[in-house]
Amino acid sequence: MSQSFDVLIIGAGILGCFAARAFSRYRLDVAVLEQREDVCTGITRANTGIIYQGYDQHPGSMKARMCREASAGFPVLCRELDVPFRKTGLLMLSTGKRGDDVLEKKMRHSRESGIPCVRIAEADEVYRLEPRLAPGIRKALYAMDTYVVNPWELGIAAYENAAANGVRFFFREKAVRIQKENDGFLVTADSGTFRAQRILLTGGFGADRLWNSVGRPQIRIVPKEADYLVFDTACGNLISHILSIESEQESSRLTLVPTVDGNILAGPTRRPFSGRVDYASAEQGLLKLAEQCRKLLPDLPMDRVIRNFGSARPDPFLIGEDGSLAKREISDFLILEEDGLFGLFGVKTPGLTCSKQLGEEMVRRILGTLSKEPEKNASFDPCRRGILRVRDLIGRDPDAFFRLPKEYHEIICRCRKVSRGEILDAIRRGATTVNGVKRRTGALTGRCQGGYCEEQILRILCETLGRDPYSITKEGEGSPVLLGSLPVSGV
Amino acid sequence: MKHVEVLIAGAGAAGMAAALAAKKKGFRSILIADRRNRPGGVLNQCTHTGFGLGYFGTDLTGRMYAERFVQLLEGTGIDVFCGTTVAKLSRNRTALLCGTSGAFPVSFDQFVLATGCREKTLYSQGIAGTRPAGIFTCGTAQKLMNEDGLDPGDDIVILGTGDVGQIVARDLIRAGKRVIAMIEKNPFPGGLRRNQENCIRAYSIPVILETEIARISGEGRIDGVWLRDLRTGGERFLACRTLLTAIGLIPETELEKECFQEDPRPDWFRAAGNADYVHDIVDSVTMESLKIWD
Repeated sequence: MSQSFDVLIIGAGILGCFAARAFSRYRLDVAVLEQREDVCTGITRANTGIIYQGYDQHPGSMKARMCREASAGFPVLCRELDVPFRKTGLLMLSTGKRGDDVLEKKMRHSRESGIPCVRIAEADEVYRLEPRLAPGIRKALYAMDTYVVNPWELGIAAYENAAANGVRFFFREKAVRIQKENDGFLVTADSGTFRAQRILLTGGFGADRLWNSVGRPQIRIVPKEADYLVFDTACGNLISHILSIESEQESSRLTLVPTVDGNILAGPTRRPFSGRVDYASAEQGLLKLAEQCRKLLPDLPMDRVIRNFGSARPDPFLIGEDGSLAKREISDFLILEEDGLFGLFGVKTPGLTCSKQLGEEMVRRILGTLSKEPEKNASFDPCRRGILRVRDLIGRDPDAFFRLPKEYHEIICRCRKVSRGEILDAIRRGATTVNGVKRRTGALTGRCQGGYCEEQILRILCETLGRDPYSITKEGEGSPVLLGSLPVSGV
Repeated sequence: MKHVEVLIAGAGAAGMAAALAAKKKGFRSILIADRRNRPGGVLNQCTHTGFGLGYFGTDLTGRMYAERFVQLLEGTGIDVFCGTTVAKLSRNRTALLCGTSGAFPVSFDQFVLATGCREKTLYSQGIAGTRPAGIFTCGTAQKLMNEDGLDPGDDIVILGTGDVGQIVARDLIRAGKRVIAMIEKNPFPGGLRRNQENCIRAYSIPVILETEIARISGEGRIDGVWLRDLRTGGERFLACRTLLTAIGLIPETELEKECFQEDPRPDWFRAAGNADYVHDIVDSVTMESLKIWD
């Protein structure tokens, strides 16, 4: 027997989660199908976490409009969803003629798109703002309303809020086939079938295959890969703004981000596609990144890198009649619609920035195809409470910390000061994997990278979920943390 | 606020010896806090012998060595709070203790950092590739096996040939596991001579010298590593299901750094054992820590 919904969203990355949240403002039966065990495990997890203002985008484009709105509304959104963020501002640096031209173009874009708080800063101001920068900076575009957030924290918050407002999420349900029916669609997934009047495909790799089975024009999503380095919090105060620099010689850009957690994130590199979507980092890219970092910020110690990772971005292409990929890259977000099937494809930068706006845009378009506008959900609550953070309280309000229940006093992750209480709350909110706990609490992201706490988190997952230690995975099916034959003995 | 004359962070070999020495020196109230649920620290996961030859003149396992010190602490009036982390150290001679029994501040006259060391991680080595499950430090693997009775996995490659790596390799082989190879960047294996004899040679563990790991492979669980020969630059794939790292230890000095940043240590602050610098054998940790008040 299949379950029926008004709208079915396929994919619970940050886009699916924000679309779900936007739908939950209406009295509609909405569900989200996610192939993995958790939300935000794919493209969302590997990102610079920058909320842009839109000066990179062509005036008049959907991207430019959405960035402007997103930046203006970001503090309110984060307050509603209780997500930590930093207003760092961004300095786009120029070291020569080519850089100056780029800045000029971005300034023009800003004026035409009506973006506030973007201006040119001359060299002396740049060095006053960022005294550790290497010599040779001529000027910078100073985008003062640029924010930093942890992408997965934002996505998880949208998910929790959507679920609290009535959207149903189905995990480990990979949509394998979509069929058109008389009035709607039949979706075949892992455990059965789902019926829906409208379907929204969000972003990820594989969405092209689903779209092509029903929709026109045919598309192909090609992964674009990149590498990142993460530096220890001990270096976090070397910069206070996001720094981005366009090379004078070649088309490469380096971005350094002071993260919400006090690390520095460097990247992304650009490199050709390796052939599979596996989120691997590449040695060439990492070496190049390190060299670029040294040039821009000589004090940044390369021996304080605590992690590197690879990302994959979806790049959409239209397929011509002859089956070949259309040459021209699609520069704006690609939204396709055919007879009740909607697709949001190729959402790369500034996709994170525009995630809320894209969700709302899709809802607007989908509602516009319904015979009558649905009623508003009178009990919709835009607010969600995040997991309490012991690390914030210890320094700021020790008395409040002492008053917390005992499980918040037991520190499990030493590097980030994450307590048992936070981990238990993460599990209550749906974390079933080690990475699920990691993304919800920040545990395992410090300099020891889980060397001390991974084993304890595993144990807490087992106890709380009543599961065998050998069934606990790092990131869902196929990623068991332990592979065991030794007998299990309690300690 | 609770007050003690001496607060010690860590109840391993260094912390226990520093506490006994404090008692002997005449301090009356001494408190050791340890985040684990029993005293002994890393000694508890060491089921192999080689401990105590220097200090006790007899060959003990790590656990037995720790047990002897736990017994020496009995009846001394020294408090040992297990399951308790020293979460924060402040310049005004107070510390925040957090644990299974709650959180409370403690003031003190003297402080000893005896938090041992931690292991360098694979992720700090700039190694490219995916980030699958099945990658542990040797210390974590040893704790999983010897303290928790859990099995990290089979078909194991170990990066690094230091003492910890060799001993864990031997533990694994004794538990019936297959250690495919140990990977070493130098032209010779690391570690103490006696460990080379008793581990690598005695168990014929394959050691691949002058080689590094270039990339990690595998999406869910690790399925192999790409090795690079440092002489030729040539690469080859080595299949495995588990990767352990033994690439060095770093003193665990977070508490000190958070408190003093780059400023010099005040006279009430001492570091003992591996939190001061990494020692080859536990007996020297004990003997130095016993002299910490001299």
